[in-house]
Amino acid sequence: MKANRINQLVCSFVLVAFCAAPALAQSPPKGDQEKKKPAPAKKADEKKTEAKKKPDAKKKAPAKKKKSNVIAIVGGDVMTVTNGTVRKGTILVEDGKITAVGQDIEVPEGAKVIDAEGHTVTPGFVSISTSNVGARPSASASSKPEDSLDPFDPNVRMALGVGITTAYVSSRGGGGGGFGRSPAATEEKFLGLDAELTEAERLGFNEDLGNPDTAVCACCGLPILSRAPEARPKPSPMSEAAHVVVKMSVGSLDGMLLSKSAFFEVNAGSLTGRLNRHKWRQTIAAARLYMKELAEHEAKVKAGDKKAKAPKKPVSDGILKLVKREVAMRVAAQSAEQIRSMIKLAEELDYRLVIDQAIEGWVVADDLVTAKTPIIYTPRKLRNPTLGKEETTGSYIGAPGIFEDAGVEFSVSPMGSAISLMGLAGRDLTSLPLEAAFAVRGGASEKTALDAITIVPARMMGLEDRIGSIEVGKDADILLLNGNPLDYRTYVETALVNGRVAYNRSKDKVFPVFERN
Amino acid sequence: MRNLIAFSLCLACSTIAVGEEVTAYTNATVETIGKAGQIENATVVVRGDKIEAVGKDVTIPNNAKIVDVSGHTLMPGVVDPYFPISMTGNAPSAGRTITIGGRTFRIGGGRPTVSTTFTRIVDNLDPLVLKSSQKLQSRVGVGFANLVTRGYGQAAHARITPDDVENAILSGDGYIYAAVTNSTWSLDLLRKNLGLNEDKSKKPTTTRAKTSSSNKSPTAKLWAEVKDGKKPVLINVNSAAAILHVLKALEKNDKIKVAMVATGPHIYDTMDEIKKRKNLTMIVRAGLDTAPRSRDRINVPKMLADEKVNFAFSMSLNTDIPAMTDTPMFPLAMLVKTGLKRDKALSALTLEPAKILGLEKTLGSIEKGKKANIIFVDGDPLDMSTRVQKVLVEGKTVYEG
Repeated sequence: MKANRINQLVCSFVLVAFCAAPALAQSPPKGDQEKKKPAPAKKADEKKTEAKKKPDAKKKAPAKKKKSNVIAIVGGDVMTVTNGTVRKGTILVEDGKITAVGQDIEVPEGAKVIDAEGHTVTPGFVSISTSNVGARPSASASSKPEDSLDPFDPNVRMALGVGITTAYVSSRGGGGGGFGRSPAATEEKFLGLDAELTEAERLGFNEDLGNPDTAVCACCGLPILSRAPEARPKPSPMSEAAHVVVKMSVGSLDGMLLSKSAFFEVNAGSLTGRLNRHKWRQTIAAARLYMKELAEHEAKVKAGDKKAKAPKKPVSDGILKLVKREVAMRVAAQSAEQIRSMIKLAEELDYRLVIDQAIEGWVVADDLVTAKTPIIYTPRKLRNPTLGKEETTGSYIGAPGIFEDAGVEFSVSPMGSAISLMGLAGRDLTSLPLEAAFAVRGGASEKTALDAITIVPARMMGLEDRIGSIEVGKDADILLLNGNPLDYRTYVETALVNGRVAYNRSKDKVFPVFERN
Repeated sequence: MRNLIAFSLCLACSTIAVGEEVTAYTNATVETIGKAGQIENATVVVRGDKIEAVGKDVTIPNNAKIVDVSGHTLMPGVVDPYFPISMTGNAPSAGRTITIGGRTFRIGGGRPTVSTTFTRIVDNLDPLVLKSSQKLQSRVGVGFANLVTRGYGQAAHARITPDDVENAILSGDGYIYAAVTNSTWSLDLLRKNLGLNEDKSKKPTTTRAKTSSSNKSPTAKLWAEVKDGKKPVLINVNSAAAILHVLKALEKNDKIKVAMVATGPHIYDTMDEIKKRKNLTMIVRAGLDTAPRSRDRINVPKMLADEKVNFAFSMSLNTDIPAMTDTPMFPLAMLVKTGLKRDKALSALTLEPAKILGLEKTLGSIEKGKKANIIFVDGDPLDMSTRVQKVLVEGKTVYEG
């Protein structure tokens, strides 16, 4: 499949004179070099034909309106994400959109040129789990998330400083929706530093040895079985997370709001237990019935029946969009069992699904592929294995490699969804590229890791025609980096959001300014 | 014309008969802030609470008390367009949050910063609070204040006369003031009342019903006047984002006159949008600011003047000026030193705020017929070494240095 994509790329993406083909996930850098030789030969012909067509088109454009606000990013190595890397490429940006990408592109007269020589140019990163950056969506029905947009929020500049140009900001803030009695992800504990640790924990006796119902005797280490009676399940209300997808358009409201319905995000608790599932099935059935009735009603109105009564909407707009497959359900499921149950339910009721915090996703990678269900993954997040099932439970450092080999599409979100520079560094939202680098450590290729913070989250939210890669027609959210995007030493030097320079490292002074050797 | 003079003479006679005090201040330098500009060696005649004559060749009435103020500069009393006072009963109270069927509702309680309940200042003003209010007596030079409080309501006009606090309120029919943040409930206050809502198609029946029923209420009448551009609305914004949201909402109707209270850094951040808006006057603190996210000093009033945006100062926003100082104009002097034109600075303190309040016929300059609100300074008011010597409010001396 990937080879196909490369072929397409070679044929269609005519402006690329040189294709580094990092898209070939399996091929190490050497493979790239081999690819280099045939590529220019193929391209040479195409370039000629291209040279005849394109410049004409481009000469016309500036002639029409001389004072066009064209920005040209020249001389950088452009990692397009979807179409390989263009060495020493040029990107033209007009009216907030990318109008050309490639090597032999004429810079129109009067264009504002940004010199990217020696820089790596990538699309802006997409944060799929964010809270308190640029907006504060509220779950209250009377408040619209777009009214809370704040382009002056210092967090916006901060996020842009690490390359995030688009963020899915949710009222839930990426926190785990509880699966009732299931174990939550275990946070790393720092023995001796944490005053809240119990003596048993400090001595290495973990209360939570995989099963929450199992307490461990502090003296002999044997599990104590719970004697508490199991409570009757209660229906959990289904609450949709209020959210908004925002651009980090520092200082400007224009174009800041990208989407108001990117997911149907719910807490997992409302989909577990017989009672909740029954309710959910009924809700979906009601939504489908409503859509059918609405279609009939519209047909009647078209036919001229003015007295036709419109059916009453029984469910929220979010559920309707879910049923129409316009948005995916986003739900947190950490264990293999939970992931499977969510997939099963989604297949039964026919809606798209995105699994959040899929820590044990590597165990059920095949199920995820079959169900075409992408996941949101945090490579550094830990989960203790279940006692006696160490091989098939818990977190696994090699999970990203397994995902890539199996073909599970995953996006990366960092440990924290908010920007917080207090406490332990390197875990909050600003560690997004670093978290993606940990996917490489876990066996994924660099290409997959970069996809996981650009095009994959864009696709999950149905925004792949706007963001996630450097392609003609997409929004000009572009980063100029002083190194590999997955290197911890790399800084964003300049960031464009909607075709406007919204961040400049030396001017904004979010991060220290010094020469990198 | 003659008839008119005769008539006014007659009026003058009748007032004299009542025994109104007439004072002539001679040999003064007068910053009229009116058409006459600065007049040297001028005489100002004050009869009762009004200015009767200003100029070089003024005939001093026979019964006038003559005060030689040579060496002094006279300027109009400061008009404060946004004078917040604390009031009993509008402190934020704790509410309760309850959950019904997965939805949360808030019962009772006030918003912590802004309330959407209408507060008419005069109706809620406790005379005792007024009497003990230090604020109404504190600012040297401020003769007239537009009283507002937190939240939203109708402002009241007051004169700052410490010895006569009971009669301080001149009118309760000020303009609407509102504090607005970047949140739906707060922005909806403007959008709903001014018909600026975006999604008109959604609920046309309910909104129509609402406006028709509430049209009778006095609040709706006030909003209707704002909507038609007859009267301005005073909007206090707490963030740069709120400025953008408010301006965006107002884009639909450029007739609406807005006086916007904002801090210097917030204005600095949003200047590009501010300068686009018609019918907008900014109300700012008279003083230098620090640029956002830096330590650089900026002169926001000068920037507003350069962009040809109307602005007025509100002295009560100058929390950095000590209350009873006799050099209240010092921050203004810094602005002038760093590039703001002198006449702009002085008129932003007097005539501009009077214009915002629609009171430019009676306030804001030293001209014939206007209220005798005059500040006496022993030299140039913007000189560091000068002091305020005397303040007249409606002809009465309220401060003497």
